[in-house]
Amino acid sequence: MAELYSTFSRLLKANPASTLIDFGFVPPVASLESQESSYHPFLLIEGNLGVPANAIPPLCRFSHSVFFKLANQFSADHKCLADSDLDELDASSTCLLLMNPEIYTAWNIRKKLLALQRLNATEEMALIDLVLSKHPKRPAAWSHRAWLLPRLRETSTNIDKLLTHELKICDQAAQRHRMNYHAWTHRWKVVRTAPLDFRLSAFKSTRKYISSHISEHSAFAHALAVLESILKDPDFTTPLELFQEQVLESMKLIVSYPGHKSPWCYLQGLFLISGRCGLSTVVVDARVREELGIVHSVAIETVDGSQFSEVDVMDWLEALIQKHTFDVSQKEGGILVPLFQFASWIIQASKRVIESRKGVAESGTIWHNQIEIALDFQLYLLLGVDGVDDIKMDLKQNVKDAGGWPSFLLAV
Amino acid sequence: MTPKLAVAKHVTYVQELDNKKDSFEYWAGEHLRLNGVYWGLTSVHLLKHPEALDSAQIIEYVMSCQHTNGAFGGHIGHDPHLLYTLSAVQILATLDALDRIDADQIATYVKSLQQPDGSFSGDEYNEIDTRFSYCAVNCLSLLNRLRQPYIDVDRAVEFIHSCKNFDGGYGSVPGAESHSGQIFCCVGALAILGRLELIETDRLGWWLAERQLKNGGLNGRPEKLEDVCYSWWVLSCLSIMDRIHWINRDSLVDFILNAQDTEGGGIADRPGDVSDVFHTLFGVAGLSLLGYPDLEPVDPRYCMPCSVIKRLGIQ
Repeated sequence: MAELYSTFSRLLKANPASTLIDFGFVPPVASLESQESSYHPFLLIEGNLGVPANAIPPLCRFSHSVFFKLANQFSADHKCLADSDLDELDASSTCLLLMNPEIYTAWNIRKKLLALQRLNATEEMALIDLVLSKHPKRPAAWSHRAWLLPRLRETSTNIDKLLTHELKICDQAAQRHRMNYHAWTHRWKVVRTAPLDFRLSAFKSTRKYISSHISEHSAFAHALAVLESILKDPDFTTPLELFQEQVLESMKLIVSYPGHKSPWCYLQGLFLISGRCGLSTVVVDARVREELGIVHSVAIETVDGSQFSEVDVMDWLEALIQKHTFDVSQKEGGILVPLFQFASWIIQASKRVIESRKGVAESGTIWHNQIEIALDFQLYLLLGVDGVDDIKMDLKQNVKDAGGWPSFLLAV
Repeated sequence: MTPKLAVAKHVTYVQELDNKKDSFEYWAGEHLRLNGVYWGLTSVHLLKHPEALDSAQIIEYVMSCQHTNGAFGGHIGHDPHLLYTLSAVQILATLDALDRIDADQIATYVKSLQQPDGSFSGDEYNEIDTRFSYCAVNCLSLLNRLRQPYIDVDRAVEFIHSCKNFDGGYGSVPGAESHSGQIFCCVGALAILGRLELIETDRLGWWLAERQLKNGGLNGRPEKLEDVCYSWWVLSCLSIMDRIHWINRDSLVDFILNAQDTEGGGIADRPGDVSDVFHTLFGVAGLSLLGYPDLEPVDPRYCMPCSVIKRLGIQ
C-alpha cells in the first residue's frame, strides 16, 4: 500500500494538476506491483491520468491514515509540523480527494495550507478542475471552489479570463452529469455579480447550450435567472426586444421538440418574470402567430387518421372550467388570455411537426405528452383563481379513469 | 403484486449496517457517519422498533464527534459542520439525551454562522445555502433557543424568502433553480418559524404535485427520474401546506413498496436498485406521512417521530 501511494505521489509531484487535463478510473490491472522506472500501475497518457479500479481501495486507505494522523497534529498546533510533514499533508489530501472529494476535512486542511502559503491558489484551482473532471457533482469540491474563487480574484490581473474559465468548467461539469445542480448554481454565482457585457455573453452561451440540451431544465432555469438580471439592468437598452425574441425562441423550441417539459417551463417563467421586469407581454401575439405560421381552427389529421382541431382542446378545457364556477376575468394583467391562445397555437404547430414524423413508433406518445404538458400549462395559468383545486383534482381523476380524456387523446 | 412493508427485514438491515465495517463502502461513507446514524435511528423509531439499536452506544459515539466549540463533525476526527451538528442534536433529542450537551454553547456556535443578510454558512468557510438555514432553525428549535440573542429570526426569514423563485419554489441561493430538497429546507424552516404565509401555496403546491410521474414516484425537478427520497422532500412540503391530496396516494405507496429489498431489507432509490439507509428512512417517512398502517407518525417539519417533538414541548 505504501509503495502504491508513494508512486502516485511521485507521479503528481512530477505532473501537477495544472499539467493534467482529465482524471478517471480505469479497468483493474493484474498486478499492482510498483516499478521504480515507471508510474505503473497508474496510466498517464497525454495529460490524462487513470487509476486502475483495484488500486482505489488500498490507495484510499493508506492516504487516509497518513492524512488524518497529520491533520490531527496540525489542528492541535500546526507549528509543531516539519516542512516535510506539511508536504505530506498536501500529497495525502490530494490523493484522498481525487479518490473521494467528499472528505471535506481534507479540503479544509488545504484551505489552511493556502493561508500559510504552503500551497499556490492557481495550482489549487487546477486541482479542483481535475477532481471535477472525474466527480462533476460533488458538493464539497464545488464548495471549496466557491471559497477559493474570491481569493484568486483578489490577485488576478485578468478577471475576465478567470471568470470565463469558471464558465468553461461549469459547462464541462454540466455536460458530464446532466441536471448538475452544483455546476449550474456555481455558474449563477459567477454570472450574477459580473458586468452587463459578461452577463450578455454568458446568456448567449447558455442559449447555445440549450439548443443541444433540450431536456436540461437546469440550463433553462439558469438562462431565465440571467435574463432577468439583464432585463432589470438600467444600462440595458433593449429589454422588450430581447424578451420578445425569447418568447419566440422558446415557442419554436416547444414546437420543434414536442413532449419536452423544459421549454414550456421557460415560456411559463418568461411570462411570470415579465411583470417584475416591467414588460407588457401582449405585443408578442401577432409576430408569434406569423412566425409560427399558425392557421386558426383548422382541423388536422391525427396519427391514426382521426380528426381533431385546436377548438377541440379549448372546448374540452372550457367545459372542464365551466363545470366548476370559475371566472377568467379574475386573472389580472391581461396575460391569461393571450397565454391560453399561445398554448393552443403551439399545440397546432406541434401537430404539424409530429405529422411530418408519421411512421415513427413513438409519435403517439410524443403527441400525448405534448398535449398533457400543454393542458398542465394552461391549468397552471389559472392558479390563484378560486376553484383551481377542484379543476386539478378533476384532471387527475380524468387521467386515472382514462374515460375522462377528450376523444382525440384516446385515439393516440 | 406489490409487497407489504417488510418491517422486520428493514429493522434487521439497519441493525446490521454497523457490522459491515470492513467493507470499502462503509469506510468511504465515513465523513457523514453521523448523518447515517440519524437516518438509521429515525428509521427504526418510525418502524416502531426503537429497541433495535443500543442507545447508550449511539450516544457515546455521537459525543465522540463533538468539538470543543460545541459543534459536531461527520465522524471522529472530522471537522465541525452544521450538517452534522443538526444530526447530533436530532439523535440526542430522539434518545432523550439532550442533557448530554450544552445547549447554549451549540446555539452560540449556530449564531456565529449567521451572516448579515440572514443566511447561514455551513461552517467557518462561508458556504451559503438554504440547507444551512434549515439546519440552524431546526437545531435551535430542538434546543429551545430559537430567539435573540441566538439568531436574528427576521433576517433568517428574509433570506429564505429572497430565495423564492417565480415558480413558487426555492433554490440554494437567490436566483438558483427550484429544487425539491431545497424547497423542503425552506418550507420546513418557515413552518418551524411560523411564517407559512410567505409561501405561495397554490403555485408551489402545483409545482410539487407535478413531480409525480406516471409510475407513481416523485422526482425532484422537471425532467428528472423518480427517486424514493423525494417521497419525503416533496411530500413533507405538501403535508405542511395541507395539499397532500394533490398527488395520487396509492400509486406513490406502491412505488415506495416496490423499491424495497424484501429479502435483504432496506429501500433503494427506485425499484431494482440496491438499498441504502438514506432511502430507507425517506421511504419509511414518506409512507408514514401517507398514513401507511402501523408506523409511528412523523413530523413533516423535523423528519422525526411526532412523539419526540411533542415530548420536547414543541407546538
